[in-house]
Amino acid sequence: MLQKLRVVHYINQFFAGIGGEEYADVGFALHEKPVGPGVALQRELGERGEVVATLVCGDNFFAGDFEKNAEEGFRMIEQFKPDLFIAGPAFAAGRYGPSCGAMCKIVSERLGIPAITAMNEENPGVEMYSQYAYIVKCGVNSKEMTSVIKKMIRLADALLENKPDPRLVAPNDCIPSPYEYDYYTRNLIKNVFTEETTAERSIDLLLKKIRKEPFESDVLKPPFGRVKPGEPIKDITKAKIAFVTDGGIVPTGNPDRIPSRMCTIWKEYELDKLCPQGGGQHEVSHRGYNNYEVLMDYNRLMPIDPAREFEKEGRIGKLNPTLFTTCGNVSIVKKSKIMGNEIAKVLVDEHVDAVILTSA
Amino acid sequence: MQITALPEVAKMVGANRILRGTNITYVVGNKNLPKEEEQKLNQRYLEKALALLQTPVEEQTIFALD
Repeated sequence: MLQKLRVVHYINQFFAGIGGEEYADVGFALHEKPVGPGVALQRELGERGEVVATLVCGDNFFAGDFEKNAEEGFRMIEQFKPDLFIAGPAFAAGRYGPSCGAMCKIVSERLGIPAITAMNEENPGVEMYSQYAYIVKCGVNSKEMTSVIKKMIRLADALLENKPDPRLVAPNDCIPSPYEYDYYTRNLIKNVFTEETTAERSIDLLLKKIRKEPFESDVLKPPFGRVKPGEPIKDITKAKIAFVTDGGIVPTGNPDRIPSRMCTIWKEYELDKLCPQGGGQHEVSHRGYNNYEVLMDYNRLMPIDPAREFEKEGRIGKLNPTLFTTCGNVSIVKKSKIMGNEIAKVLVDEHVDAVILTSA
Repeated sequence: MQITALPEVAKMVGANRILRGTNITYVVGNKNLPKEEEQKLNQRYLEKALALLQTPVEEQTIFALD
């Protein structure tokens, strides 16, 4: 007979029955048995597996530092040598979700075992961890507990079985279909052998699209995400305003070698050196538009001279003395997000209140 | 806020306060205008940009120069 699967489960203080918000600060605790939703998990596993340990932590405590606390949690459960790790389900709980995601990430990375959680699409943990963890889709209500656990175990079975897929170039590199198993795609791409040529498959998909029949695209749409709009500036006459551009303006000779396409770097230049009144010190590294007009006058890309006037007249508090530039042409979304975060960090450090971003 | 001649692209990637620019090759200018007129247009773009920075928005919105 096959050995029983060793399963470790992570839950928060609420589902462990410790208490609600007033107990959200409690630290880690370990129980060598199923607790709370773990009972339903054990029932679903039946004879196949055993919940050997349940790790519990307060939502606030874990949310203090997701990565650091995941490390601490991992050290506590490692000794149980699990074959499968389950966290949550977290439904729409905003601190619980990322905690489950962080635990799944560290467990799957360190132990190479399936690590599965479940969340509602509104849970911030989906955005943060769907790339690293298997997150099954679920609603917002814990009444669904049993059905969600069933879905998680179904996915676990598929992962553990790791049934060789002859279509895959590496047959044991099986990933269960996100559609079939209803989890958030991890955007993993695998090479497969197909009977038809690419041309045949493309036409087939196109015809399905035209006929409005369901089809699965091979191409993943980049996840752009949504950002909460910033609060309006209360007093613009006291605000520090900065220019950021992806129009590719650079000092003459492009000393930092900013690529004119697929750019992954940005630079901060002194505004008065790059764009002195009257110009003549800049060029444009951007092969996505005809640069001639901007080359003749930087004000066509950014209203810099008027901003200088406004600063003198006190119509804005201060014009940031530096300009942030990159080239937005066939850019990679993932890299652009990183650049955006880096630029934003410097802007915050330089106490900039608002940004005018211009794009060609 | 973002000024761009392709506001739909800005909207797709998630910008919230978007101002439609004149043209891809002269976003906040206009090469067909006399120098003085173009400078005025530059200033109007700046004024509008600053106004948008002081405008509350609930969702992604594309604005045009008045």
